[in-house]
Amino acid sequence: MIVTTIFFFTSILLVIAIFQILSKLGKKTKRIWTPKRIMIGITSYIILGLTAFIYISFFSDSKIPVLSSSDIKQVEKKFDQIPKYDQEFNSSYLTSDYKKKTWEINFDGDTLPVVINNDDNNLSLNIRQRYNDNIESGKALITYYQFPFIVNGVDLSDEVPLPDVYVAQNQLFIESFSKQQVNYNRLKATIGFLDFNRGAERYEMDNSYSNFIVIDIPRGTEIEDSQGLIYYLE
Amino acid sequence: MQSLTNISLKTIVKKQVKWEAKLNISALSSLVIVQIIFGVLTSSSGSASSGHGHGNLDVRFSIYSLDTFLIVSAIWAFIVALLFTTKAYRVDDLSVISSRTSSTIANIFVMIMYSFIAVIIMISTYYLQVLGILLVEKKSFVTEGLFISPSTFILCFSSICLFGALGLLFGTSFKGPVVIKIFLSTFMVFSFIYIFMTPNIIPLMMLPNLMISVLCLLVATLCFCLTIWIANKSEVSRK
Repeated sequence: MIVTTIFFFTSILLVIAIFQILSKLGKKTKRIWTPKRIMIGITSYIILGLTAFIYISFFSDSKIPVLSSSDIKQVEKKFDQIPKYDQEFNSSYLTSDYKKKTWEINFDGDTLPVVINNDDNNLSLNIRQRYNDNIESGKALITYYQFPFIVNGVDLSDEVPLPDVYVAQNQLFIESFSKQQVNYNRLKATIGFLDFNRGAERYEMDNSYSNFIVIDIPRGTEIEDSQGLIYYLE
Repeated sequence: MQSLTNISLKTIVKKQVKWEAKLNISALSSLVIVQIIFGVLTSSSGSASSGHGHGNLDVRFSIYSLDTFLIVSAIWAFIVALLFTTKAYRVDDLSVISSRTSSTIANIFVMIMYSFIAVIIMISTYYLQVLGILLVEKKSFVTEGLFISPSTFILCFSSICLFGALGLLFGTSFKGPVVIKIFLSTFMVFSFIYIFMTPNIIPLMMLPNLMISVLCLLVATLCFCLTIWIANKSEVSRK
């Protein structure tokens, strides 16, 4: 409310200042700006605005799809099951549709120490381990899955930066990249502060299970997780 | 020279509205300029912005809505209405046979007309701003609503009209009896403080657009009626 008040009073001062300048200029240009010319100017401006509207509606297609509240609820219904599957150690929700990248690594011995360097965002990465009979000993597959990450109706799953995965000194390092910022322009021909106070902002889904990193290891191999961040999957 | 022809108030007001609408047309051109300035100023950030963070991704949305243009138009309406009641503007009224009451009624009609045009100018500026950003930044918009709904249009009109009515009432009250001057100025100052300093306005915002519009129009009508009443009262002491 204080910000609105400051903005309101700043606007008042600015409008008064502009009025003062215009009235001084108006006196000098009174001969040029006859009522008829002003009327023509205003009409032209309105026509220009109308042309802009027509151009935007017909020739500028937004490349960013916006999901409606019902679409988001449908997606959410689908992904509501993820925590349940996860608690039952069931990996069937991790399908190839959501697979973003796979890293194949080699290591020595039967133990793979894992170091997760996730800055302060420990909660954002869900890391799981799974035994895979098709993998040879001394090898591991690290797969990154990204589920829809919806903010304000926009699916940002393609914008989420992939983690950095590498092996050094026979240890597996999983590091999240530094913070990335994406900017969007939202076009909403309504009164924003009314929508905001009415809580008419787009329905959002819980994004805490939006990404998973699965470490596939051969049977007989152990993962050394000193941080206690890796959970088991079947 | 005195005329014996009896001219009705309706005819006087009609003539005066035509005269004043034409005479004060520069007020609309000033609105266009003010809107363009604010359109340019808010072109990079929009009317508002919202941020969302999750993990290592920060998302920032610049929201392009009608807020800024509506606030600017409302302030403009208040200032213009206030200027209509000033001595300099009243001198122009002498070109048409008028009384203070007829002049006030004419001012009200002109204000209503100008409020309607102001909404159209406001909408034009909004689309021109969007087009400008599209052409300059070449960045796609997250389009949630391109069309201005009739209820939003009516709400904008009623809000601008309300501020215009407040401006007229405020200006006219300083020409009326001393009691009215003191009462109205105190009431208006406290109203502004109450609206902006307390969160009690939020339940009002929860109402549908049309309901808010009706409320705004009712208050505006009350202000217009009070303006005519004060003008009528101060008729005898025309300065």
